[in-house]
Amino acid sequence: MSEFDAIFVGAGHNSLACAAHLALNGWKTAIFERSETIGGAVQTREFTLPGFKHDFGAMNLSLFAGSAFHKKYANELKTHGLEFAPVADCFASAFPDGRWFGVSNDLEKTASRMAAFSAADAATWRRLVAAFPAEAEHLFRLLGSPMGGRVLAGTAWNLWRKKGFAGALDTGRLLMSSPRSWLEENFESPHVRATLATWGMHLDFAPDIAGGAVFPYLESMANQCFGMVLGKGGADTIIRALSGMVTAAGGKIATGAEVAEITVAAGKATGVRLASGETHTASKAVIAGVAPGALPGRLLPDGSGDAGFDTAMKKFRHAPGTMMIHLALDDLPDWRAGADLRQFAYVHLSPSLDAMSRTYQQAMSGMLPDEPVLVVGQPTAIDPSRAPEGKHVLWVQVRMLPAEILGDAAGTIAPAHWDEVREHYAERVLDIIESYAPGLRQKILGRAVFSPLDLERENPNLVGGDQICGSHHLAQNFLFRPARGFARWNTPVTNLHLTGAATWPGAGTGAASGYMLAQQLGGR
Amino acid sequence: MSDIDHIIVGSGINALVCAAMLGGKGAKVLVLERNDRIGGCVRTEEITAPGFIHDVMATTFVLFITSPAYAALGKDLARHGLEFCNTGTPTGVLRPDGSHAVLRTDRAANVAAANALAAGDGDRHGSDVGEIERNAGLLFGLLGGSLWSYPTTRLLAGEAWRRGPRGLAGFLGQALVPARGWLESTYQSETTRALWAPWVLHAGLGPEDAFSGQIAKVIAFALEAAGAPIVKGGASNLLAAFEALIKERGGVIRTEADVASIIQSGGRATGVRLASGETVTANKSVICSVTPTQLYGRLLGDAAPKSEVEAAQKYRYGKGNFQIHYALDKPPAWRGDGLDKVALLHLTPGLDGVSKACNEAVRGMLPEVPTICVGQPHALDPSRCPDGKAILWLQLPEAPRHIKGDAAGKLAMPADGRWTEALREAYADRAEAILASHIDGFKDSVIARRAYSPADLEAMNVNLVGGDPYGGASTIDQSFLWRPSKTSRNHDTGVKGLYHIGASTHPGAGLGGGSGFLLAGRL
Repeated sequence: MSEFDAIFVGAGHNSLACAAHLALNGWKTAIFERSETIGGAVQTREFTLPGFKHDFGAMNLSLFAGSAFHKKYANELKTHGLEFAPVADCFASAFPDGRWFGVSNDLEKTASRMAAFSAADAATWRRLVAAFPAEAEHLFRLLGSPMGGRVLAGTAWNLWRKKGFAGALDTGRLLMSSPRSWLEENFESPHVRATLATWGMHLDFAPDIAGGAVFPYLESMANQCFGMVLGKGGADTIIRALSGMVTAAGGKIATGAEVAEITVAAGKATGVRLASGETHTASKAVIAGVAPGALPGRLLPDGSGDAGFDTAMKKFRHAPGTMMIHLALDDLPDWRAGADLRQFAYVHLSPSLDAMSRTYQQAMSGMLPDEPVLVVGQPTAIDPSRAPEGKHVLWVQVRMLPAEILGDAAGTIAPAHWDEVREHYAERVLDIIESYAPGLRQKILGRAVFSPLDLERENPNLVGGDQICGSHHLAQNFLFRPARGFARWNTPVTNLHLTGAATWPGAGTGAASGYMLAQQLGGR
Repeated sequence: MSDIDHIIVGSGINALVCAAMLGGKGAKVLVLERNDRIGGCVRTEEITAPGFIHDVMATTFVLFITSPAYAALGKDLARHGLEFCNTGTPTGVLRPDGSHAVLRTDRAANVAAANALAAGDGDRHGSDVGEIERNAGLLFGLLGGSLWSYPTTRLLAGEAWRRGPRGLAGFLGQALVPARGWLESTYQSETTRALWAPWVLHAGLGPEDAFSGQIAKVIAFALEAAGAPIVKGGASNLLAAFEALIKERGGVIRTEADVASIIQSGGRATGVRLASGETVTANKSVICSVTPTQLYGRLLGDAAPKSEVEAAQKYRYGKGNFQIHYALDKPPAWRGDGLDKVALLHLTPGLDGVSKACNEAVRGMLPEVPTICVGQPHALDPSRCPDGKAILWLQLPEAPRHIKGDAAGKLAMPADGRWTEALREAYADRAEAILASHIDGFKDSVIARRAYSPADLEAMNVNLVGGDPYGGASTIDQSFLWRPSKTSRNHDTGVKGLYHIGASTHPGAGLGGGSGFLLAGRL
């Protein structure tokens, strides 16, 4: 008799959502997490000073708030303490010329700001917003369904019925286009283009990478139409609520419990062996929320039995790395471009498509970018409960960094291991923010810096500091995420499944891979 | 009734293939070219010193001799004097530190050479080109077939049946991998990566672009199988052979005949009006081998379908091209063994170097270290220059169309961002310095140099918008079903009797004559 029906390796939010659904369907579930804290890349901790709560990785919970899982379990999540902090002023970019542009959930506000840059762009924006519900129906259907030939054919069929052939090809082309090609086709203001293009850089879509256009499109439209959502008290509100659901339904969550091996007998996963030597058995499923490279030769010491799968997992390509800088502040930054920027959830510092394109190329070639893309999160502008009265935290994500440093595009930092480079590079980042928000340094009460390698030490799924667990380029998305033939969370080993950002539909806090897998295994 | 069946506007390789094929079916064809000579990007001139015969732009005909068009026309063209010169060493690479590699038309030798650079690299080369060979039917079917056709549907359905839908999806997914992904996960040696990385530029792509890995593999296969042939005596001899064949088949070619507009009546294209005011009518069709900008902007004027005009306005052009030609007193003394007979030698730091230079050009910057493709026609065809002398054909495929700055921070930019003669020469000096660092006594051996900026190339040929030789960006959102736009079906235009061919249409750029061949097959 097995102890459990399903065992999970790792306690990321996809594992938790999957376990919650299965547990509520009567499965005996157990989650083993190597770290002392659960949540994977979604964690909130006091990294700097007591009372200052910092989101370790993910901060934006919009995808969770809009997810199918949340729709189904809103009441249960609320019972277990889930609280959102809605954002009206979602994202903005500050520019070196002292101007800024931002998207708020109030169409008139956004459109009038945009009109100051270009009346034509503002008209285009209104047109795109009006057309968004019809367009989104197809895209969300695609992103919200298990990936396979049937959903692709179904999406194509619906598109053809509703939009005709040329319209269907428009959507197809949007999915193939680079951010630059879509933005230059639709907007004339370089400021507007740069503000929107930065959403591609949240993944690994530099302006010239095919398949990236859909991310600036979806993010900017969704923020305009639905606003953005953060977690009250920290992004880990979803983790606390999910773990509450799991344990209330009888599921077990063990921390400090590293899985050393997934046990396999006759081509079938039977359970796990922990680093401590403990073994546990699972009669129906072992679900690994890990980066694909961790399977062959590690969690599966003898491989999966399918050499093609093992090679694909080893060759799985990660996106460039990131650095996180967490600051405890006396006050929010005084943005030179305008005090309005203080109320935005995100202020992006990424001056132009060309600058982003250059930064990406530098990182891909192993160079430290001279001008990294900075995502400056101001969660306490939305949710003051994350810091002591009147104080603030700043969440700075430094995008597109090499895991292994071969050189410095600015020529001032000698290539070395990240442990030696980390503080120098953090100074470069702070210098950049200082140039947009003079006086920032005087407001810093505490700081914590995580290099790409520190991020990987904290969470081995963030390979090389890649927070999206794998490139989302066309060759590794849709039917090919994480590899062709394995887009439905399956592996060559019977009963062994993969979940998490490396699997369809990719990165984000939408719990989509976990919930779709849970439905596949345990029914609706 | 006109005595002409088909009018072909423009005379690039696709137009010539189309004219020759239609003539072979007994149709009466008239080719109209606005320049004083035919050929488009195929152009041969003595541009440096007397007796030195230079192919100004296109020079390597590997995609022509492997094309279905050549299979159909090759014998007749040979009868009219077309001959190729080839080499056993089609390509190579030379890096700044002197490390280098040479590709041979001999798979076993290539496998051994790559294994010598890094154990296992050669074996993977063998399996990669072998895979292209195994997938040739599907690959060349998609790259060479009419997309909206029964044969393509049958091909895809057949492949889905043979491989299973998953197998077919796997093939298509693998096809989307960028060159960096392919090279980094396949080869350990930086030199072997450097051998292939520059080739994606010749398809109008960069190493980070989706699909560029597949294209590089196809080119690797083609070079190994067919070498890098050039036309004996100059690429213009290909034009002469085409001209003779078209005339023999009853066709007429007129140069300095600038078509100003297309005449329509009763909802179909019936002829053209020349800039001189003369009108010519055709019984069956008007075929334009031009860019969408020309077709839907100038030639159709107010009569252009509105949706097509909008699509043409959104049509994107790619990086510009820059050419440099040298007449040399003696063959170059390369600092590197076995490079003197290489048909096309790339000078680049490697994969990261190509990525950087390409990225700079896309951003409108003059690359700091451009990738230089060096052709050595004298090594294949001694008739190109006087005895003992040499010719170099240099192509820098990463040139900005509109210049925003200099990545090296050295050259002053024209305020309006346009190429000037002074900037052209200064940029050619940058390339020359790289060349001189690899060749002993290079500067003393130069008899003459002639450079062409992207603006010069556009001035020579109106279809090279911003000096883009590939008829528009070849990124995946502007390829296949979307080339040139979502409404294009098999070279139709939305106007009856009017067809669109050339590099801006499927299957895109290259000397294969694909669009001309496909259309001629249909009409």
